[in-house]
Amino acid sequence: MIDLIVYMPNLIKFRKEALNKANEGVVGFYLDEDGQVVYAVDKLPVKYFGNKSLSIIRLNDDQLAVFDTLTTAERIGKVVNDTYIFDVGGELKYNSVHTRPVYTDELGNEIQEPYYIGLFKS
Amino acid sequence: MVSLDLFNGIGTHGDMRVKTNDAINTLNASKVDTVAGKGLSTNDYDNVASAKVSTALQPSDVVDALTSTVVDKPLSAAQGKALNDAINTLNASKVDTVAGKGLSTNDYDNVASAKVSTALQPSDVVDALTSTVVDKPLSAAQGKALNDAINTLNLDHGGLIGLTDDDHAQYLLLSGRGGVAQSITGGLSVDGLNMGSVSYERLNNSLFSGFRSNNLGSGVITTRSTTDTVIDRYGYVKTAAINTALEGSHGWPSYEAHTNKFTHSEEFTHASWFKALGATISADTAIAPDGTITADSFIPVAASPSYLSMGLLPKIGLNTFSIFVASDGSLDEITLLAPAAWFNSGIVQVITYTFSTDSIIQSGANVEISGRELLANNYVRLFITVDAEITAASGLQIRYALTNANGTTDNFKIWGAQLNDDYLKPYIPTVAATVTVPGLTYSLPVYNNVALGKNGEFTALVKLSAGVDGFTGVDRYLFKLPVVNGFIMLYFLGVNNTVQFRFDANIITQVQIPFTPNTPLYIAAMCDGFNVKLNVNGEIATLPVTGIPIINTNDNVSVGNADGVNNWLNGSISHLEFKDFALTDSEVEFWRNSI
Repeated sequence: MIDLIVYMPNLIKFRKEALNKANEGVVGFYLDEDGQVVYAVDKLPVKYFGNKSLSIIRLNDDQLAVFDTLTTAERIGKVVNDTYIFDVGGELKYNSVHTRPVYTDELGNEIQEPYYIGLFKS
Repeated sequence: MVSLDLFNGIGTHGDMRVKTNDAINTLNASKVDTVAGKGLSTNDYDNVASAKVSTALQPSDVVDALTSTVVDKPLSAAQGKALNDAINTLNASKVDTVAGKGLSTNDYDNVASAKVSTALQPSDVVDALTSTVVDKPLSAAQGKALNDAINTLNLDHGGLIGLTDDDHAQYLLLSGRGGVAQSITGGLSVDGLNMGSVSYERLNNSLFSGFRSNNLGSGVITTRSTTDTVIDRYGYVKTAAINTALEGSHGWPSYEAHTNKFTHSEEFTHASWFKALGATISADTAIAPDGTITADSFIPVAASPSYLSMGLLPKIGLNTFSIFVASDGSLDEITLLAPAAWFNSGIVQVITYTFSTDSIIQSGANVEISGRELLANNYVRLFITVDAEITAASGLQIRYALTNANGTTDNFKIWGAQLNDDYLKPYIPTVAATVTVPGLTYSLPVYNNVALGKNGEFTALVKLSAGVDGFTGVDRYLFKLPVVNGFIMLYFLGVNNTVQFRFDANIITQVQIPFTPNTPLYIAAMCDGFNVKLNVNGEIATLPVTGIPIINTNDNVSVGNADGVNNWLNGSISHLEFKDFALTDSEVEFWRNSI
């Protein structure tokens, strides 16, 4: 079991690849009743920035083998003991999606999302 | 009286002649003359007799009264007559002795006499079955008529008939002899429950009977890659291990992956929590719902009033903000506030909970629902679900109630907080980052080549207690049971909030019944080989089917989702069982009222 930090630079391309996997009958990919392609793994809420996206996914060994065949989803790090450990260049891609803009609420409080987009409960 | 010593002197002395003459004269003077018919007594009259004569009773000694108590004087003859007369009078009115009979030892008094006077007479016996008098007996003849009527009733083996036109209470003897199931024909009505044709044996004969209280059922496989937090039926917070399910307060949880968007959800001293207007926090000083001293004390300032706050981005749509909170004994009200920046109206959405009355007042058109769960150690999990329209980061507030009647700086205990998408979801503790718990998948045993019922009969009984999302626009699957060329499935249509039963075997047969989310839900889905019948909280819909549902695949039965990934139920399953025959409507009603 591993928690990966996953970066998808182009969601449209990822969906096309996932659709092909579903049509090929690759385990973990399928079409739901509405015709939407599904990548069936545990994942945290996805962060979007334009056409880019970011998430943490939890994979078992079989799922990891399938993930490694994907060309449109990139591993940029992993989560160990509730800590993000980025691969080389991974943090830059992470920050390009998770920009953490500062908001000011109606009471004047400055609000900024945490640096981590989330963790799986261990 | 003459002395006889005189004769002795004459015989012994010489001057006897003179003396004799004088003596004669003397004697003559004192002699007793002869009286004809009388002579000297031959009985001696001595001194003893003389003494007796001297004490003899005289007429004056006779007592002429019945009141005297003297014991040495006689009663007069007159009084004797009076007594004789009295005896004669008694003799005339006496009861003669009869052999074998005697006087009773029981008193016959006035009370007994009164009873005798009111004793019923033969004329009082009622010889009719139409009388309503309550103080007269029924005749033996009418008793015979009743006995004859009883003998004509069919009481053999407990089967009762002919009760359907009687408005009075009826009683059913279950297992009256050796545990044998009994039945009533004719649709007996008991407290509005139609028990006609109810069979105890049939109700307890299940192909699969998992998902019951304290019983997940043998062969059920649970899969979840993380631990999970569960509130048990007693309100205690517990942790379910990886790949393990714990029964919650509403049944067996079945939720999709969900996230607590708060960081430091139990660390209110952390800088991420904004302490406004003088509020202070004392960390880990109060008992928590899990029994540990890990809850914080929130010390607000009444005059401000002060609050805790953390700014978060909402999901467009439903968001649920919840906290675990307890009164310190004097605090009476607390408020949860969703920020104005989330809504087109620009108005905060608020609920205020009053501890003493256990009541909630909600304010705002975007409040979808609010409520509370009662927990151990006097905690409540208070929640507000709002429909957000704007993605703007803004502060969710936990605040000293604006309307708090106390007007003092009462403290309260706070243990955890959560913001999750959609309706209320199981709690997830967080620290430095948001945390996600994946969904829990239930997989039931494989029924390889098992013919599911005679002539295609099938029943699924389900009870859901809480949390079934219905307004998300997404279908929520309850179970999917593989059959020949297809499946049987029960699910909720999120689009129009209906319960749908689908028998899909090349040709789809389905039926829908409306339901209300977040209310107890009883569902019985049945197929009798010819019709599909769906009973949702007593509302019945029927649709003919094409084909017969027979299990002969190698697929598992899935519960709580369609495929382990999508269409999660998002609710708690209190009860789920399958039968390989169709129950009657009466049996379904009996089941619904018995769990």
